[in-house]
Amino acid sequence: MRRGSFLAISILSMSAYAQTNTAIDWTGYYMLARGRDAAGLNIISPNFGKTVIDHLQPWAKLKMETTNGSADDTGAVCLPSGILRGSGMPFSGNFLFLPHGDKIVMVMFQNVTSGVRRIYLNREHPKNILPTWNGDSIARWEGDTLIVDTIGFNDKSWLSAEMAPHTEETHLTERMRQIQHSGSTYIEIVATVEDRLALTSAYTYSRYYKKQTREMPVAICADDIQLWKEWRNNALKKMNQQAREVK
Amino acid sequence: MKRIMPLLAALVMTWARCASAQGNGSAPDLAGVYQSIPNETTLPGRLKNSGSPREISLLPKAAAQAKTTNLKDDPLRMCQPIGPFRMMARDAVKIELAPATGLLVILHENSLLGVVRIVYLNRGHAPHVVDGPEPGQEPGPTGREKLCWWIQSDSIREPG
Repeated sequence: MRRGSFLAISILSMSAYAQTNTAIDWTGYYMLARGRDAAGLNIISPNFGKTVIDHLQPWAKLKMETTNGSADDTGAVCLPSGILRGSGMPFSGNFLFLPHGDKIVMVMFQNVTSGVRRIYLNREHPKNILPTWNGDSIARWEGDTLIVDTIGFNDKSWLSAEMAPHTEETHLTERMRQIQHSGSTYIEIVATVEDRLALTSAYTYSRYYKKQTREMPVAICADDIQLWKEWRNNALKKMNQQAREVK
Repeated sequence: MKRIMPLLAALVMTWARCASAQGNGSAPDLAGVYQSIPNETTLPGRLKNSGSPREISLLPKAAAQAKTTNLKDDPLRMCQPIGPFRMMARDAVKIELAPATGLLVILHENSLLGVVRIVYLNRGHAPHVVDGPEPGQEPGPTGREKLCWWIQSDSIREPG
């Protein structure tokens, strides 16, 4: 009887613990922690580009080497660049985290290139996913950790700034946790990327995002039309030149 | 003191009502995806769209500027932001409302044209306009910082 009561109390306590942790309001504007903000945090794979390259299959490495880092970088001309290379980029590491009901909306600071992520907590992945830049994200809680599972990426984005390619088989798993560090609130994201067609094995990296006391400004990739046209034309010129060289 | 008491009581009751409303979460949950109805559609209660950008009457200076604007440079043609006035008036515009604590974020289906609108529910307008890179940000690896401008969502002001 005593054992039964103890078990019941334990289950109730565990349930209360899980509820308490999942009930924390994560709403806020978070920025990738660097320098002093990142001191003392356990950052896995700080050299993100090298980590990715070390895991590429030969064909993927070859494709990376033959890719023009300027001409083929969609994000550099205000086109989408997806979320997979996000944490390695200075400008894409910031986001607005908006949980509401069974959905979390992550508005990336560079919303023109990294867009908006919608993470669903109440459903499975659709059976026939139309591949997109940011894929399809679903999540579940494990205690105080949000496990986010993303598939359904298109193969137009790059894994890193070095133009490391991936395929539509890419599978991203993120373990998100809110932590306190040096008096500030952070979201810790431990991400694992798998791609049986492009990678020799999965790679893992972690990043920390510090909650800001200020508001997220609106980012416009290019609001000077003339400057943007000039830039786009230069990029197109490089692409044409590259195509001619390949021929 | 006798005169103040009813006033105090009214204030306390008003505060209690407000606190109660907030506590009950009585503000409507606007979360969801919405699409504007066609102009020819009338909803029950005779609700229908009204107004159009074509009906705008401009001051002479603005009208002159409109005439000299090269429509080939219309940001709409280049997937660039067109601002909330045109965006919200477009036919069949789709928006997602994402509420969170103290915020309501408006996301457009076409995020390139509409960007993101953040509506703050817990403050008045910010007293200043931020124009420039974020403090602590490093320059972009591709020179992107030359093209990037940061504006506060409430920086739309009448010309001074």
